[in-house]
Amino acid sequence: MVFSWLHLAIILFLIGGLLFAGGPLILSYLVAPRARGGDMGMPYECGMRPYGGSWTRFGINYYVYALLFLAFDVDVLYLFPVATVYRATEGWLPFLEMFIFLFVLALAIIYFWAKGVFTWPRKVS
Amino acid sequence: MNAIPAELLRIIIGLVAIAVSVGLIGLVMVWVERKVAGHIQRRPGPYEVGPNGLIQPLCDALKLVGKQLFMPKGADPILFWLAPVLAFLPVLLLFLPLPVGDGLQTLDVNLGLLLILAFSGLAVLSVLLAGWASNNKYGLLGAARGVAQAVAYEIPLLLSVLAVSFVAGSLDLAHVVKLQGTWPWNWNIMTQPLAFLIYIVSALGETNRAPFDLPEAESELTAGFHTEYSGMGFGLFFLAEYANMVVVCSVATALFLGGWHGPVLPGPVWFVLKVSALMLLMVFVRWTYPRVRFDQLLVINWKWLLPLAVANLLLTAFFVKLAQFA
Amino acid sequence: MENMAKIVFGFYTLIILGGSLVAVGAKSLVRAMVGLIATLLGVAGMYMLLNAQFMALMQILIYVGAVCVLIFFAIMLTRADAGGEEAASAPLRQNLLALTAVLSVGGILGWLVLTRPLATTGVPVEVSIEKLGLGLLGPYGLAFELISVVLLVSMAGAVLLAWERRNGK
Repeated sequence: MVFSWLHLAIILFLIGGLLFAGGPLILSYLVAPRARGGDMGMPYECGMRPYGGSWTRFGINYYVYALLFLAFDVDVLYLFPVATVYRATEGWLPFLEMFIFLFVLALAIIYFWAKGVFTWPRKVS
Repeated sequence: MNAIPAELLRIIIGLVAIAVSVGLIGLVMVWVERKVAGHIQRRPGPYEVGPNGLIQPLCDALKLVGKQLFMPKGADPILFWLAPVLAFLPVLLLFLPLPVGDGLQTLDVNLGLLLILAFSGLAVLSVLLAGWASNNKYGLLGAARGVAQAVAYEIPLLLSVLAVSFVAGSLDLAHVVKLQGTWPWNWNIMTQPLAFLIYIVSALGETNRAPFDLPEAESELTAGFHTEYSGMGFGLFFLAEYANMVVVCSVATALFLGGWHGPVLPGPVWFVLKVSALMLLMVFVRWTYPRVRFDQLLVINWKWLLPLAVANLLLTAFFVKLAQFA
Repeated sequence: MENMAKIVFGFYTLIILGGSLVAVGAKSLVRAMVGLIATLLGVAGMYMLLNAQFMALMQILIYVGAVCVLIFFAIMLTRADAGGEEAASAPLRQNLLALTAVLSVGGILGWLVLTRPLATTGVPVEVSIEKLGLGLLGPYGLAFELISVVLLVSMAGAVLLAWERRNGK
């Protein structure tokens, strides 16, 4: 196992962030008033009593967008290592490989565009 | 006991300096934003407390601490309090690889750019948990929008950043800055203007700033995902937003605007000046443009930014090779 | 530093185990997702210990940043709260079968790890990101191209299924 300085720095900075966030919260918990009663616990809905629960279900569109994001994200992931060495490579072969890779990516965009995925439905039944 | 290793000292000094600056930035930005908003709307903004209202943000912060921490009935108590902490947790870490001056950074991280991109993704989770745990319809709607938006705008952001790293051949921010020169025409913005534009627009989307502030659209959703947060809970989301703005602007400065390079003045001064100029730009944009509709937001991203970013990356790859043979 | 590595290893192990217990046992699906996030972050930490920084950052970028969002939207297609239809506890028989599955797989793996000699020892070697890039452009070029094709097919398939349903109603 290797424990690098970067690793230590990440852990220390995360702990720092935790303290920076937790400190004011705890301070606030100690000094702030604690009133109760009435309708204070009612979820805010412009003063009306909430009708029904708030944990509703979403349309499938959100899921599809998240899925597209995931796939594009993984695509981009493979470009990061390539970006570091692309300049140092010789010949046009790397460009050809990049071209095919990005071309397939562009095909995906064109396909979804034509399919109407990028058009937000005006009315979802 | 041995002497403290130099790296450990460096990390701790960096941590303290960053924590202090994040606090200060928060205070200054609250004042700047309110002043700019005021003057744009032809009113003076805060001016009662201190000269020109300079003490106002400090009073605001104290007020936030003194407010009751509040949770609605039926909310999920663990996730409800986890969300604001999670929003702030990675913020300090995002400053870790930023090079303020030549050699003036906490650690020279080989994969600095990736570190920032990876940990800024945690912000999405905090939005999502905050909205879901509040047991509030506005909150949930805001979370759904916020996540769909942040997720959509991350792809063009990554692709525009990649275009620069293709030119520079590195993911190390300090190295990218070193390759640029003193004068504006030596900066990456001259070779990558489109990438810069895409980056700025997607950065506005990523940080939920107007005109892309749909997750907290106050005229339709009250306050979106943080409707139910009072006092410091809200304060943490707010502070995290400003800190994220600074990170986004600093990355833009390092990648496109030559980082610490500039004539006459010392490096760190230039860096701070450039970051402040970009921050001011973001504030002006917020108070000048109306909010986009949700379908417009998705159209801007999927039909404009994403194809442009892919085309830009392809052209960049082509010209890098062409330059090699010319 | 070696001691620090051991402490951190223990810490990550606790996070991974605790997170997975929450993921399996939580009544509310969103809480289960938070447990999963903790597990994934712990695994990212393990990658850091193995000197694979690129993998660790990608674990956070992809799994924590993207996969969890996908899971969240999938959860939001169901009734996710603790009182919903997913929250009722499973019958005893199902629990027993699940336990058997866990114990058999875990038992075999544990037995293998404990009895076989270690194939590798010592300090993990760092594979730099440049090496990965050269590999992707050179000997693994075909795999590099196929990745984007595979992703295109999977995206198209998912969209096709979801859109058929949406337009069919």
